[in-house]
Amino acid sequence: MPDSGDRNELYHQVIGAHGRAIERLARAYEADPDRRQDLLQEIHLELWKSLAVYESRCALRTWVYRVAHNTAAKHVIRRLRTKPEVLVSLEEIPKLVDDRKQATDTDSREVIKQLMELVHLLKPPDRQLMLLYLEGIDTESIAEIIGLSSGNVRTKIHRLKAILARRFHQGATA
Amino acid sequence: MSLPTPGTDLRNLWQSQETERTVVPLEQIQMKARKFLTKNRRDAIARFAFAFLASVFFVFAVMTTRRTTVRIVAIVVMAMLLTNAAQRLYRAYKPRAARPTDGVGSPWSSCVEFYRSELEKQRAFASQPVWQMLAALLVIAWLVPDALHHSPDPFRISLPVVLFAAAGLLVLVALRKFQAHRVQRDIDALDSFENENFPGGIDDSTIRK
Repeated sequence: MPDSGDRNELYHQVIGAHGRAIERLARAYEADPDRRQDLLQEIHLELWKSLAVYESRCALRTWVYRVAHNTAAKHVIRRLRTKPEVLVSLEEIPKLVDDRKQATDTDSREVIKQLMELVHLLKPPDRQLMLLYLEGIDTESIAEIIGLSSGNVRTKIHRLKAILARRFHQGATA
Repeated sequence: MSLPTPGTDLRNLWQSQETERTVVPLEQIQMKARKFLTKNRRDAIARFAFAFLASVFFVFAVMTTRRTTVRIVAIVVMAMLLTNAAQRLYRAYKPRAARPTDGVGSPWSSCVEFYRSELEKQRAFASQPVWQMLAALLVIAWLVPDALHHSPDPFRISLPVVLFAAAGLLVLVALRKFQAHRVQRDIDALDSFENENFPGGIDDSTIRK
């Protein structure tokens, strides 16, 4: 178990390597800027606390993503209790999103905005999968972080790619 | 930010989006952790003090009233308040070891496992055992005739209070049931999310654009 100094050093190391990814994750889980700051702080706090029991039994990256996603999923569950909204799975997305309205805008910000809108519709497990895919994490690592088999993750990513390709065909390819 | 051209990987675009680069200083995190702990303990103490004061009031009610129903209700409420407050106080002060199921230990389990445990916790909170509802209905059924008997004039205080409490309880039960039903739907969706698999997986090369 790392002592206090090691933990602080580890925390700085984590922030250096994954700070931006954590911030993108917070954005993908909370659209409201004020609540997003709260979520971000909560993720940092949970990360720092969790590093006290990190024993290198898995990759630090896996650990960090698990803490961040779990904290964010908890945030979503809490929010849904006070403000119910319908979140969907990847399979339901094509029914909900009109493919005729493809993202034709070539502005990167607009593409990211539309991507974010898509992410905000998803239930936590599908959202985790999509975000990890967008972060460029390989299939095996995604399976380890989320807790599914590699085959299952490949299936999901296949669907995800098809959705992204249909939606963003003219702006960018998945 | 550069404009994406056909062929630009969405993942690159996603990873290159502008962020504010929020750095949360360690001191702030430690302070927040301490504040959180202090607030938890303060809340637990306040709750216990309130439960204790309420118990004094209930003991007084039990000793002075002659009506059995009021005595029983007072004793039940007092027991529930004290048990709950004592449990909270114990949780706030007991030394904490990292457990696989709580926030700190959550990385030991995968994200799906963690999500499932959170949903199950919520379902357990929302769905009440049948005996609780039956007990509540029995108490109401007992109180209404008693209130009617002691209130020949229906506009006297006890009957409306009893009826209002009964209506409130029924609404609460209905809301909880609805919430439990919604959480169950999420758990079912999670089951199908985990179970779904194509035999043998998929060849990734066939889906590259």
